[in-house]
Amino acid sequence: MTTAETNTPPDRDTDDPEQWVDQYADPLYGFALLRVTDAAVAEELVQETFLAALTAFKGGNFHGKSSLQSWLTGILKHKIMDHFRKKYRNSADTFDDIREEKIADFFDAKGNWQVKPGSWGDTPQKKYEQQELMLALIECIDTLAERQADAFRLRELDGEEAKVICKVLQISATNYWVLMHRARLAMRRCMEPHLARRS
Amino acid sequence: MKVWMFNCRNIARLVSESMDHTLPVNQRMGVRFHLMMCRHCGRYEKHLHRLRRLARNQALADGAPPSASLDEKSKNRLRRLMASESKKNR
Repeated sequence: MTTAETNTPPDRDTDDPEQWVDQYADPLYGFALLRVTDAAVAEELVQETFLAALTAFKGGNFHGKSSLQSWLTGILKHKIMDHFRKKYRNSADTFDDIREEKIADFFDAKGNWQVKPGSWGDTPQKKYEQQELMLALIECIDTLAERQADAFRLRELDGEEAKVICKVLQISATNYWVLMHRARLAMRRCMEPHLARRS
Repeated sequence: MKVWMFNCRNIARLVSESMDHTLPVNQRMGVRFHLMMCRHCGRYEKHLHRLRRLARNQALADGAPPSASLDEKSKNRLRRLMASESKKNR
């Protein structure tokens, strides 16, 4: 470490909770919105995160081992899981959504693919192409039935354990397998036009 | 059902399950055996892993895309709230 660096005073911005909104509101909001999709809910979760973080911060529970942003994101993740717990607390373990993909739609009577998976190209190198791909992915998730979409996001975006997701979404393990199987069939089909090798 | 009788519908289900937990050994062998012969299911498995990588990359990217921002009104409300809360019990 150089002398210049050791002499640098601690970053006053991050030390001052009143500056948090300016620095972290947008990234936290974007993080929440991607997962809960409802703007009002996302905003509320950001607020809850700031308030919980402030209490912890005043109690000396931020030790600076991680960056403040990743510390806040960690708190937000817990708030998001709490949100899903509340959302599904009173829901029955059923598949009554009419947008639910039917597995039968993907296979014929003999169990062969109706439409065979095509050949996909490489991930594009250009930044804007990658961003388009990400947007397509997000849009495809949004076309899934609600519980499928929530399960898919928790599993594939955040890598939550299947067991945890079952508890949060109030579904049995068996129904979780069915739910994710349908979600993945639908997601693969939805993303195919964006990833298919161009001939 | 015997593993050598697995058709593509069964295999697709097991491939999805294998993304979430380790399959029992007989099912794992059945899947591997089928994938050696079936290009379509092989692609299916590759595609699911590809989608997972894409999704995880997105999760790691700090809010972009889609970049989202709270409107100023909401931010002002949050600023006032944080200011009053941080002055409490000082």
